[in-house]
Amino acid sequence: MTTQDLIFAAQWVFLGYFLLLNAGYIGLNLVSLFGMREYFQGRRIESLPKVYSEHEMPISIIVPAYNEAATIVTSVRALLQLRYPEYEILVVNDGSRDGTLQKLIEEFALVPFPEAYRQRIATQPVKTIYRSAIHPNIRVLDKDNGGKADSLNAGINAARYPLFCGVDADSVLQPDSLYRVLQPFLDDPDTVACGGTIRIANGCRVRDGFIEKIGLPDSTLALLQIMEYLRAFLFGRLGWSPLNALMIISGAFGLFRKEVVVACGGYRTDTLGEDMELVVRLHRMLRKQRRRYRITFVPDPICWTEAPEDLRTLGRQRIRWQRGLAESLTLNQSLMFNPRGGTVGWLAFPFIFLFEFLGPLLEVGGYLFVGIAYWNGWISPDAFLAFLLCAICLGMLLSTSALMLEEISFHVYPGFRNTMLLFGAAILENFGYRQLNSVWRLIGLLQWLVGSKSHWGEMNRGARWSSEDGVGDPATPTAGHSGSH
Amino acid sequence: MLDFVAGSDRAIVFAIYSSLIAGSMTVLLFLWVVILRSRLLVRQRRHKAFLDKWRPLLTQVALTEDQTGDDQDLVVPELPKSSLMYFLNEWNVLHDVLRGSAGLRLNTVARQLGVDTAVWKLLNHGRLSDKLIAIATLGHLVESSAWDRIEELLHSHHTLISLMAAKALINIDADRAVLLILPMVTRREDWAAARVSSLLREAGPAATSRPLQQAILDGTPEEAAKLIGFLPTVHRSIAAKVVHEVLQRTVDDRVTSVCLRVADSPLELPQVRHLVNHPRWHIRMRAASVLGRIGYRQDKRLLERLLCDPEWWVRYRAAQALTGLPFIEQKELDRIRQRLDDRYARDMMDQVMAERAA
Repeated sequence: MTTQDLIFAAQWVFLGYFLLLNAGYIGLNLVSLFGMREYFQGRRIESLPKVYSEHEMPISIIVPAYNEAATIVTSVRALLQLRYPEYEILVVNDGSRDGTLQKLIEEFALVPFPEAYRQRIATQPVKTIYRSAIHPNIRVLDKDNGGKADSLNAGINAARYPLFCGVDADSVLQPDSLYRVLQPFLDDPDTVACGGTIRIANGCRVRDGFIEKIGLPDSTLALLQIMEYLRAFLFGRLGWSPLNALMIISGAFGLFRKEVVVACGGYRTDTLGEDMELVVRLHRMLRKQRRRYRITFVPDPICWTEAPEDLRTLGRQRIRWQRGLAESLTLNQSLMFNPRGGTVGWLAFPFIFLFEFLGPLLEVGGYLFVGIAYWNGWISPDAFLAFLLCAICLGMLLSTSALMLEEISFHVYPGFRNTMLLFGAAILENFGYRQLNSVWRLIGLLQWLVGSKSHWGEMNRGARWSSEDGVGDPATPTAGHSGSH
Repeated sequence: MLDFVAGSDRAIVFAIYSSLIAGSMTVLLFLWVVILRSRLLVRQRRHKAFLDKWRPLLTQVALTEDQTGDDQDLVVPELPKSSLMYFLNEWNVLHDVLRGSAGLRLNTVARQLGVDTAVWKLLNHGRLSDKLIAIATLGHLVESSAWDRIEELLHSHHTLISLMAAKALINIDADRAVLLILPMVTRREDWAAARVSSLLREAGPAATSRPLQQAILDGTPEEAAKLIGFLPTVHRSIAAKVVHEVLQRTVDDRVTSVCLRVADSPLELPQVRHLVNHPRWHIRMRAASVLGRIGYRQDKRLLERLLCDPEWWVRYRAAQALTGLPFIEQKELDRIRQRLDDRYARDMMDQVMAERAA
């Protein structure tokens, strides 16, 4: 085979890959479009009162907290105001060193509580369990440091109710979040897990832990992430959900049937993507057992989270996510093309393996190849420009289609100006941002490959919702457990 | 420099065409987004104008009792065709939160505006969401002439349509509707228990009690297990009678378990005392809860024994039941706690007593 043949073949491979990738996502977009239509027509009946009464299952909200002193009190106060008939809040203090526990003790009048704690999932030792003297539905588990997954497991052990909801300490919820995410459990008893759309809180005004006014951020980096989240949630997840092939429920907010999770062994503590790994494992185990189940998704924006506004933090987050994804897939690889794998094993898993797991390798490889080939004169300037243009135009099409889905569904961001800004972001992200993301993800993949040790990085969080006017110190560094996919 | 191979020309052409198609589609999508946003803004303005005008009016109509009792005198402005859906939404929401004569006055207004005829068009030719709102409206209007058409929709494969039809039929004639709906409850797996329960509550115990009793007693164990969960929606005396009868004769654990969830008559005590020894833990757990609700002094011993059960939930419910018994004082609870040899039982008592104290 000559060099020319190799170049010729490589061109077609990369071009084919880009087209296939985008065609796949456009396909998901179409599924989402139908799913969304059905969902909104159904909401007409939901908007009428008295659809549900007294049958809402009680929920245990588990909040893992590691060095969250800046935000934890506001977060718990906001959780107390959720509109839901019966729920408990379990804050798991994972060996914080910044006075998180002390803040909670002072604010909620916590007293040690003689709980008959049963360890159904192995965790680091729980030192003390506290209960609030003011709010009987608040308990705090003080345990040795073991990471986010370990904290969630401890929370599951202590949870009283049949459903548990893992919530990041810095998540801002909608007052009706629990109602929304519970609906699939009421409609279909086979539902074992349900996630919801996570939105970016940067640019929004937050008061007392709730979104008061929705807006777009000044930071370009945060704006670009808004487009990314729209893509990821509105068709990345909504597209897979009707096929019962959803492979991730964000750790920032997800509702699970406790007994099923316990039977699966809880969250794995040796992975960075414990949220995704759990969902993939649930698919694998339940399919193996030939059980009827549904893992589903509600498109409502039910949880808001703060996005990093500096490249360093963002890069670390994306590297971590990619490693988490790689771990989740490889730990459950037997699901792929498994005779009992169903849509998830035969479609979603291979799709995500090809486009998300191998994606960065092929994307960065594609860009490098075109660049090197042009630099060495192996391809003409026309070819160089044509390939770049193709990648960029397809990217723009995907982002704009996500914007269209947002516009026909929730149109969360009010006014024409915001629509224009989002469209600008949909175009702009294709000039550098997506390529940078691919590089970060490639680093994540390489780190996973060489097996460097998993650990949580520091997250520069503004802790904006802790201040009354919603404008806090933009770079209060905390080392939270959050940063879910 | 290598010459650009002929084959790769095709790749360039392909890439350029793909770019052109993707670029054009991007522009089209963006234009669509702009159109959608413009329409949204217009809709929002229209909706606001509608609410400003009609919400106070409808609220006034619903809440103001006409002293003369002559509803024909109500004067309402004309309803533009473009505002029909806004009106129907607002009107149905009000109907769902109000009862009695307020509903009748709302119906008078709707009829004056010609809504009763307009919804037929929505029902027969509208989209799914139009159909749903039309069914709800006909139900609230107690439109008997729509019974046959709505009964047809009750059998629709579409879950929301069938449920909305069930609700409408109940609004029109609850007694007749329950007889149609109950046999479907056991058949329709897509009807969530929460929604069925809401429907039966809406029908009211007078309409539901006897047919539900009959359906449970005549049904298979699977059907009974499903239907017993709705007993809280019927008259207490009938619910107690059904539970008693079913508990006496059933051998099905699922049925026993659901019965125990709703049992609250002392008639069940002998049976419940027997069930604390059941091999299945969830039945022991429910038996402990029932003893907490209806148990006598002599049941303390049984509950003490359940405190040493290997299953956490049985111990927890037993401790809750014990501490909740109305005739047990703190001193006695302390004595029971002292008597316990089992560490897990003691821990559980400590926890539940602390919960009570809090």
